[in-house]
Amino acid sequence: MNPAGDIAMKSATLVLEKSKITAPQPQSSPSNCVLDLWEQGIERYAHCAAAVARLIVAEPALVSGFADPAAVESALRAALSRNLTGGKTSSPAFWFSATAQFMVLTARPSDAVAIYRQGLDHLKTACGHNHAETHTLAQEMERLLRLLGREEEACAIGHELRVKPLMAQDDEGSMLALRGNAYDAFAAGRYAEAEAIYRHLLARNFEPAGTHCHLARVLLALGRDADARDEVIRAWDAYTGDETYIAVRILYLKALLAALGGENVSGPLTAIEQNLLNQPETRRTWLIEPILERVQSMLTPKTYAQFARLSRIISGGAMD
Amino acid sequence: MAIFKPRNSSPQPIRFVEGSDVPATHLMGFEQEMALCATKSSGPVPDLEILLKKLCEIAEESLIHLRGFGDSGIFIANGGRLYVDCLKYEYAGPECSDPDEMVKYLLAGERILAALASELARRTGLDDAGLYRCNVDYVGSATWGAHESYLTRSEPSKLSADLIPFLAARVITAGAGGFRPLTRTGCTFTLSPRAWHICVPMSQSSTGAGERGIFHVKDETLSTGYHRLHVLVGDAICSHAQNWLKFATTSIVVALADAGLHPAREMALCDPVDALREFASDPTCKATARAKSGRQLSAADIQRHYLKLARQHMHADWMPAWAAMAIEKWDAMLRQLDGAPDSVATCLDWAIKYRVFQSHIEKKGFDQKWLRNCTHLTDFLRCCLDATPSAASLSEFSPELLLNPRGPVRKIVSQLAPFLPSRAMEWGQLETYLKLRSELFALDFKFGRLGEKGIFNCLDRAGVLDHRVAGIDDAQIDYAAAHPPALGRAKLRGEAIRRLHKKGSRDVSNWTSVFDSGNGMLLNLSDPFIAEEIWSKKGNPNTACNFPF
Repeated sequence: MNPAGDIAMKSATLVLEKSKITAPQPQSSPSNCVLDLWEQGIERYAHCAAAVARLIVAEPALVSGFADPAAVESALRAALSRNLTGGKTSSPAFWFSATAQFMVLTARPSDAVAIYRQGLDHLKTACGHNHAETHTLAQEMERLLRLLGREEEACAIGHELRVKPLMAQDDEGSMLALRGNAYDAFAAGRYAEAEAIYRHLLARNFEPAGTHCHLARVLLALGRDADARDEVIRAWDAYTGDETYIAVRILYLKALLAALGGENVSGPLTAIEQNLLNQPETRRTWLIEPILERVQSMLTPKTYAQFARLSRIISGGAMD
Repeated sequence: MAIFKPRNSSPQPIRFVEGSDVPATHLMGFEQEMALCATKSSGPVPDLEILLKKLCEIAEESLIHLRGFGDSGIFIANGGRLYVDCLKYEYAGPECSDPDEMVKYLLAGERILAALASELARRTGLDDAGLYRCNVDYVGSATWGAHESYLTRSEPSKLSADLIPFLAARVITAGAGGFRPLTRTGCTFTLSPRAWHICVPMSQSSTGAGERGIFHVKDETLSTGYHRLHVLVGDAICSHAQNWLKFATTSIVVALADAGLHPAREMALCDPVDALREFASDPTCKATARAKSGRQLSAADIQRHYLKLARQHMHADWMPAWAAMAIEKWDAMLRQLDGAPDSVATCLDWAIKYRVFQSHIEKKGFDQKWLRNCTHLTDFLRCCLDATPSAASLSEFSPELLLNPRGPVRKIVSQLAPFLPSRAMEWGQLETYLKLRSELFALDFKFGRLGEKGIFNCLDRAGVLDHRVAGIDDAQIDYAAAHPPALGRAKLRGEAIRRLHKKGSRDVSNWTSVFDSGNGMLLNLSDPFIAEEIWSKKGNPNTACNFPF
């Protein structure tokens, strides 16, 4: 593990430390691990709590049998094993989740990640990528990875479970869903992921004007201005005049690239503003701040202010 | 220790940043949902729906008002609105330009509603009728919202990342206190019961179970040229100072974000919902959550970060005139929270409740530790009952069911018996615990009742609280009940309502216009800062199809 990852894991372990179950202390009357589990907040881990309860309902003597966390873990693993080989009533996703949650509760997040991985491998084979249980378990794993600061791994899970299956489809619904994923990736600053999805959509000629424009925005965020310029040209070439809001955005990016090249863009910006005034339907949400933030130091304060103001208007803000 | 000093409360004129349309006057508003509860010793209490309808009739008879468009209740002379939504009675205050006004109009509305409830009891022969700021229902899953609105120039969705850490962290200064809802058997104190109904960082929905977000992306602007940020993660609170601070600090943080300063750049939380719940679980306010930067941050750490940035920009031309004073009060409150819960036990709702609950628990001869142990034991047994084959038919959680020698968890109960003494528990106390739990929930419910019977108001009258905002007195609150704020469109709306109000009038109002049906004239209020009444002719007022909205 790299040093950054190591630090992340250590601090995550610290976070989870407070929920660690302590070994039973000698007392005048016996302690009980089951009640300890509830004291330590097991109810926050719904599957784990339900799993422990299920085990005890099936075998009440486990109340005494669960003398320490190791006994509980052993019982959970055994139940998981039974369910992997079980019949129609088995629910391996539930037991994978419960066991992983127990690992988190006992401050062993890396063991939890391992259980989740094992569970996903099993479910992908047994139920398929698109099965609801596979997605639910993947989401749990993603959330834990994010909590541990393992952002890249979390993204990879999301990509494999949400994006890859959509990429295998060519229908319009999948394309739209993919574009939504690309936008989410862009908004979250995962530009490389967004670029890959937009390129995939362009390879299938999905709404080329808009998609080239989206891609240009991503490339600008990545600082690849020359590539962005090419995409803006392609967007303009592909623009058919149907969706005027796209034209406004293409022209905005064109003007921005021109300004970054040192050109005076007051004229084009005024023209865009006039267009917005005449066609209010072109004003709708547009996320451009990350790009403006990146290029702010490359523009004069006046030009930057013009672009910032125009972006607000494009997004539906007030016009003077 | 009083943290709110006397000050001049005369309203500041509307200001804009010189040479631009950026307002330095910050408009804001609130909506508060309330539960109506009635008792009658002889005969059945009428259905809630009937009582709410009667309450609306009383409001129409006794208040200067215009009907809202469609079925949207009434707009009253102070510029606010009263209506019924999903069997909840709701008061939405007029647009206000500073936190003093917000508190005044909140209290004015509460005064109006308390009087309406009393009149309802009198007219319908009820023993009692009251409206309650109860936030959550501990039996079911209903909630009563206390939402805020802040005027912005940015689309709300673009402010989400900047505001989510603040909205999660403000629970320590804005929480109502109570118990964790949705547990069925537990009794665990929380700084904010509604925090447990928040399930995602961002949402479109404000009502759906499992869908409410810390940040609400709704963008129903109700104006031209501006946006409206709708904040739904919040509780209805009683303390005047706490309400003041909630409105002031949120307005300032929204202004920082709206100005493009990205105030949360270093504060992004790995899991904001988990962080909110962690913060809400700790009455000492020391709980921490992990930021994406890798740091462990307490709610106070996060608020101090925003406070620091606010101080740096305190004199910016887009900051409101009251910002400097708000920043001082904010700073003082964060310092005071170092000693929470005791240090804030007379001024913040959650800490006042914490003391009230503590006192009741001790009066019954128990302590928090015992209550926690009982919570864990009953939660465990509830889980076991759920896991039994007969779970579906077990709606009632009772000692009889648990301790029944032929009951579904009898073997587990007998297995657990040897482990109870070390936790100072015995099975015989189960009924006592469930009774105490009900009593504590009832205390929480009664705490926020409007009018003199509310526990908060009783404590206030007894002089044991320190929550008042200097400069806001009874006369001002009475005035605010019948008159609009001094600035902005609420002023014009309120004045027009007062002039047009007459019995049987077909004149109507909504947030963005008032329609004078007699003259077919429309007052356009879509500019929230409008200062002058400009009426324009609008079709034939006698035909519904020419209705202006």
